[in-house]
Amino acid sequence: MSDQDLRWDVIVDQKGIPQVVIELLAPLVELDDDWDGYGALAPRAGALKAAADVLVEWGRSIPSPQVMASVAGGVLLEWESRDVDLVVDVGAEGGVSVYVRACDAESEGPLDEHRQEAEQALALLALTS
Amino acid sequence: MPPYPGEVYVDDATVIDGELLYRMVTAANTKFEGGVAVRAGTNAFQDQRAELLLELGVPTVAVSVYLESEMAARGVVVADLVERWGPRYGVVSITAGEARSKGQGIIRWPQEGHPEHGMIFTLQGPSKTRGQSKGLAALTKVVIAPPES
Repeated sequence: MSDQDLRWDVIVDQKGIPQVVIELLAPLVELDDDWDGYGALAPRAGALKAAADVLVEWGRSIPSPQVMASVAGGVLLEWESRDVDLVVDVGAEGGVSVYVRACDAESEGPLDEHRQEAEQALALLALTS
Repeated sequence: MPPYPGEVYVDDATVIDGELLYRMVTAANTKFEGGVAVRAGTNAFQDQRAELLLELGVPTVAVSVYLESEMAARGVVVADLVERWGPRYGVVSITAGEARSKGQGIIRWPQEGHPEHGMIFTLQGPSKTRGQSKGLAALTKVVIAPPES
């Protein structure tokens, strides 16, 4: 079993992961280390699992994010509109931080400390999408 | 933990605000809308991993770019960058002034075989914040789109 297969299995083996979440994350499984030419790491299993968990937790009512690998083996989930930016940064080991810009205010840090701002941003994005 | 970039690098005032800075991108760090590349992805402006510093020969983290004026002085055009890097790459641009508007400094950092090389570094903190990376990416223009894969 290749490393890519192993990472993919982490996601698809989780019970209750909607197909839409699996499809959002699937392109990241195709990435190898150095996918950017600057030495970036391919997304690690812990990051993919945690990203899936975030998407499942926030549910089907949210708009689809842009899904990207981060250079350190993590996953970025990004939503943007004219008035709102939300970046969820899932680290290689699964730690989750966020950047939120809404109503001309910015905040950044661990999701646990900025959950309210992140969920308010998602609500605004859902209203305007 | 490498030193803070703002304590090691100095923003080069000879890099004028209008200077175009080129960043190589792949499909994985480009934002596409309807199959069209519209800007760099936020991940294109994350600082490189600290584990690579020794290999790269740099003292701390930043984002690599090419300076347009240095390219022009050597007769290098953007298409030459893609020729160097390979067919899976594209190029986005941002001006030095735009980068500075997001709390960054610019430094010339010629490398062997890449005398046009420079870096965008954060003036404060250990590395670019997520907001800075997002803000920088949002200001980019696609010069040569990478093939969408």
